Amino acid sequence: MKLGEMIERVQQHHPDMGIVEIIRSLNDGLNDMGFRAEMIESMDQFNTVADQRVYALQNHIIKVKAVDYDGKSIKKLIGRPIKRDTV
Amino acid sequence: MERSNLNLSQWLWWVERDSVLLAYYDASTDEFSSPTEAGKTVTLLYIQRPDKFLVTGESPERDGFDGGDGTKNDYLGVDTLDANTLMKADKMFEQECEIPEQFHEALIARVIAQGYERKPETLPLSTHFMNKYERGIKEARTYSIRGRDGSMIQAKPMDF
Repeated sequence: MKLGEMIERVQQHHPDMGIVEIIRSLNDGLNDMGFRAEMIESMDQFNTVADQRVYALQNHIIKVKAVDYDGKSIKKLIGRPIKRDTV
Repeated sequence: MERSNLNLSQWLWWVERDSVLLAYYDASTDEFSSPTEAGKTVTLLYIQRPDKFLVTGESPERDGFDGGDGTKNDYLGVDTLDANTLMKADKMFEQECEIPEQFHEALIARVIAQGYERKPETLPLSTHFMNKYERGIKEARTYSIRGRDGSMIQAKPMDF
């Protein structure tokens, strides 16, 4: 269903609701639904930097499910090493 | 020893402070070391927040839609973004969200519910539509767990 049709359906109940207001509310709902139902899987790639262990995650990433390093799947460490590295 | 059950030298990842961390665990020295080589490809498979609908003049919150490199120049199914990645007025209503079609009705129910929250006399209607939304969330959860092939995705807990 396209955005235009969604707006029409909302306005059948709330004719006084503005388009921008409806879009903002739909976006809030998308956020909530995406976070609670974890429906959208995606994939990104980046390159390692020498002697760098920490790579910041972008804001749209809710949960990392798997990581491949140099083309091979690697395992997840539960917890963290005793010695913390900040770089 | 770092962990009693961590006895194989291998690459490992974990998440900490909104970052993904990569290290090689060497079982002989019992130490973690960061990648020493630059340019090794790391692939992340993740759950993402759905991309938002854009109002005319707005641009996407994240990178990857500029079309500058010729790989992607559409946003939510519409080829609308120019070099400035701004949504054009004539294409705004054509956007189609990423969540599967069967859950669009639930999303609309949430907005309708919020509209009915404004007046005390329509609060029961708000509850009715919010319940519809919550049912949609439940079905969406099931859909996510079972996947498109209908089978259950097995999560195997593993500790190192």
